[in-house]
Amino acid sequence: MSNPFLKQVFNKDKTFRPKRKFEPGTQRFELHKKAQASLNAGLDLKLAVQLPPGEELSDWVAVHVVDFFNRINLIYGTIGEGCTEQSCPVMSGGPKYEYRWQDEHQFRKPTALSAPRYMDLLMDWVEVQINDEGLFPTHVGTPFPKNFLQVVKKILSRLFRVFVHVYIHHFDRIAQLGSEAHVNTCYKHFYYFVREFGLIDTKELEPLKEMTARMCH
Amino acid sequence: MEDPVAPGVGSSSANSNGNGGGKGKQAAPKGREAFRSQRRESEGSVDCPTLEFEYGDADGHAAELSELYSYTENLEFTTNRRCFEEDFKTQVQGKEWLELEEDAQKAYVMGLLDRLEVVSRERRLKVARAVLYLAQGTFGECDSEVDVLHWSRYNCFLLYQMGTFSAFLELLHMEIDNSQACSSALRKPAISIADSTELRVLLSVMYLLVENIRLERETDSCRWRTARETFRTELSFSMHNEEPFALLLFSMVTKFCSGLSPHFPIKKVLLLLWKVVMFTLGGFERLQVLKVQKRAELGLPPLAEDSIQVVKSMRAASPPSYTLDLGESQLAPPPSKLRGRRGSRRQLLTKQDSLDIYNERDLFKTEEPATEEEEDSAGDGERTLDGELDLLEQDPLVPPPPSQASLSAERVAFPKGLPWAPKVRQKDIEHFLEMSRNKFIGFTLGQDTDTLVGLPRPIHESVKTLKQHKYISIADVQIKNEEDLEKCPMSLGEEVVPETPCEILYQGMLYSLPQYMIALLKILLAAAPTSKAKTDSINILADVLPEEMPITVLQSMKLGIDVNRHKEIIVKSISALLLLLLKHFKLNHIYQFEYVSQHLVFANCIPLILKFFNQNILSYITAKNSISILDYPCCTIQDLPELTTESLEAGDNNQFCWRNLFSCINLLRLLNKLTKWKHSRTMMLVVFKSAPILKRALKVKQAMLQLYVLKLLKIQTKYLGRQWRKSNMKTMSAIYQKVRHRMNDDWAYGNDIDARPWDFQAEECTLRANIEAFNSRRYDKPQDSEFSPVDNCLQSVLGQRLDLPEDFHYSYELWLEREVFSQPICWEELLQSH
Repeated sequence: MSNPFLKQVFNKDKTFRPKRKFEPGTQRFELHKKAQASLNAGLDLKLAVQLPPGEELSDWVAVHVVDFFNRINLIYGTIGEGCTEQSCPVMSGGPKYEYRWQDEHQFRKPTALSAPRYMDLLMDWVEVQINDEGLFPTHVGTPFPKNFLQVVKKILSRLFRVFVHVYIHHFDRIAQLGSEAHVNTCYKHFYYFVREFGLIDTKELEPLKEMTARMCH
Repeated sequence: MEDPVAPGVGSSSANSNGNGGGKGKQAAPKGREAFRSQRRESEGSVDCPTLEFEYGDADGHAAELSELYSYTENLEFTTNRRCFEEDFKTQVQGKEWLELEEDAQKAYVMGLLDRLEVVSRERRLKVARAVLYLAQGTFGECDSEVDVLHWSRYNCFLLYQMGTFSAFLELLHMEIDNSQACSSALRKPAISIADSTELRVLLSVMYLLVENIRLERETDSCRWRTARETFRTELSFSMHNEEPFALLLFSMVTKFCSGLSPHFPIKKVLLLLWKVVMFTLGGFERLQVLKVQKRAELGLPPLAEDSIQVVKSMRAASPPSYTLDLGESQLAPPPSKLRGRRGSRRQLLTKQDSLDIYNERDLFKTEEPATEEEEDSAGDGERTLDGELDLLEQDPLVPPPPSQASLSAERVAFPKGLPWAPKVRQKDIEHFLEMSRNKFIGFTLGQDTDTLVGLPRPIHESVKTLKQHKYISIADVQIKNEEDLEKCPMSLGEEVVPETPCEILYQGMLYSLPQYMIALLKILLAAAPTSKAKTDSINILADVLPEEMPITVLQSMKLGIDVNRHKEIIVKSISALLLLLLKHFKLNHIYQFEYVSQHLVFANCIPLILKFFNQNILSYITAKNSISILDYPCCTIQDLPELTTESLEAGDNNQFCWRNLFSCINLLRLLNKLTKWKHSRTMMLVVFKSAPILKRALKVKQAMLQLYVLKLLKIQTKYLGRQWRKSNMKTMSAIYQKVRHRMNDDWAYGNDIDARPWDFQAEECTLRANIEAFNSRRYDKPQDSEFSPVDNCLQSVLGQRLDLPEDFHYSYELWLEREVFSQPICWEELLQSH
């Protein structure tokens, strides 16, 4: 992410436009930037995400998406008690970024929601996608749909937002629980994976850019 | 076993624990007030102090003795004493019992036993009471509770050696068949303790003999040890061609439940039955020894850990929260400490690497890091004291800090980090290979787990790791043997079955086993605190209710406590008995275990236990249904003061009720035994919505209880859905931290609600077929073999003599209705084999 070229791209296209003025005082939002503890399983996650020879790309991606979904769901679960309508009335990633929800049902237009509500909808939505036999076939031999990677990109971008919110707003809780290393490892794994296959637009990765640069070499 | 209080040593503690030497009763000074206030503060919230409870076969000796008596019976202590003193005066002049030489004592006991054979019921009862007084410790001549317990034990050994037990056994037989008592009890509108006087005296003597002789102490003389072993053998094996003693008691239980003998003092029967089974088959430590032996015999590798020790060294987790406003102050330690703590934790984490790594290398090599950890934990010494355990316990990977003493040899053997070594079943490896082969080479090789041709490297590694952790249980070997024996009955010949006490008990129980289980569960249901008194349920209170109902408020308060205590003791004995039976049968033969557990399941044991837990379990565990001044042996030493509200509560500063916590753990273990590896029974847990019930039980901060709750939650997590998992991360972490890991088990992630079909009927039927094959192969007499000719001559068939039970005429009409009239007659079937 230290690529100056990417930065340019970013500045042009700001979906999450940084607000000009925001209270810089709260130390809380900065906490996550110091995150670095990680589990050392004796394997290089960067290599681990690469497509093994002879393996089909869609298979590989599908397995990872399901795995990440489960793990991220649990990570949000660990801090869930602290993420309430009161503490996080708006789903955001720090004072700079705000996320809105949109789906095919109730919220056809992007709508600002509280973080817990947003997370609920997000997780439910991902679960529906993953349980859709048409999208994620479970039987060997059934082909993946043509738009598979497109859907996956959307799923992963949305899951990334969970990381953003957890890191920026609830890192204190993570540290308190002593689960920093677990969350970091999961994040690294996730990050290397989406980078390996270019599954998330760089602009979505912006909120955690600084932290990522420090953590993922 | 238990913690005996040696005579002369424990006098101070015995005085402070009014309740009489129960375990875990060393509450802080002023403990009760402190605890009360703690409770008050935490009412409605989630907090409860960690309970210093030590699980074992039974409570302390004194507590186990005191539970034999209900408070209504207290007057009888003096009656017994009077009976003894009257008799003693006529035989011995100028001396007291304790002043006699041993020979004189023996001579007197001989005389007593002779007089036990008189025809007059009344005189016989008096003599029996005199014997009971001896067994109770001739308390009239004692000054302290410790003395009473000491002489009770001494007298019991003496009584046993003089043949008291067999004499009482005969009397018991007579009394069980006493139809007069039966019919008078059946006619009465309300039964009271007066209806069971004889039985209660007999059972009490037998209980005291069993309980006192069962108890092992370092200081026991050689003669006592021999006597103990003789008694054990006598109880385990049939004497004089009779059934083992436990069976007689089982038959009393069923008789009581069928309503034919409502006057049986069921609590005493159950307590005696439990203690006899424990004495003859052995307690939990004996079970562990037997297991190790059996594994060695079968040539299996030794166990990686001693589960009793592992559980002992575990710590309780703070319960999951129910409200969102869990004060931060409660959770967050002061900042300075936090920093220090986090430092050490990070160290632990990095040292520990991760799961994967410790699975792969230095699996059991903990020596080097152990020294470092020791330093850590030495520094941690204080911090464990100042109440910030909560934090520590939320951390899924931090090992439970070893308790002060447990850093010794027993702990070193475990892989660090997690309390249990992961296990893999042969089936798991087969399943994994089948999946991999299907994917990479397109066909499967059945049970071949060695051929890895065509599979990529990572799969090789996985298989290697799985095999490293492979665990073959005794049950696996037994199932395999059974299959072989079934397949080739001729070439393998007759199996040699060692005549262990357990085997003999099973043989005896086999034919009425369903009835025994149903009876036990019926009583358990009636004794459960959540069950409402129904007209059709059995009356289990016959042996607490006094002849005349209480008049004053205090008296009825006392009776209320007595009734609750009575029920608690019944739950305790049934839960402990069932668990012990299941564990012993499982070790003896897996299909014996399956037979018992299937009958428990069919008799609705699973919903029954869940129903039991569907109460405020914290208040059940902290319930105070005891009056310590009325407990034996205290009540025999002190003059009974006038009952007041104060004396009802006096002298009890227990943090919790040992027996209730014990029962809860037993019931949870039972539930685990029934559901483990049984998909359809696990689904019953889901269907009966056990998760919220179990989760509530986590409020009790006791590591062992929590472990068994977590196990039950773990097996159903897959089916509870993502939402549940997300909002129960604390519970999930606790599961991860405390429950054994199974490799490749996706319990925390799996989403396969529909993946596995759930066919209760089919699964249980397959199991049942296996059990029946086992039972008929091993226990059916060969006379009824398929080669014998069929008798189809009407006259000779009708002329056959059938041995009917004596009480058959009672249920004859019911039998006719059920077995004859309601069965369709298929004449064709008669032509086929029987």
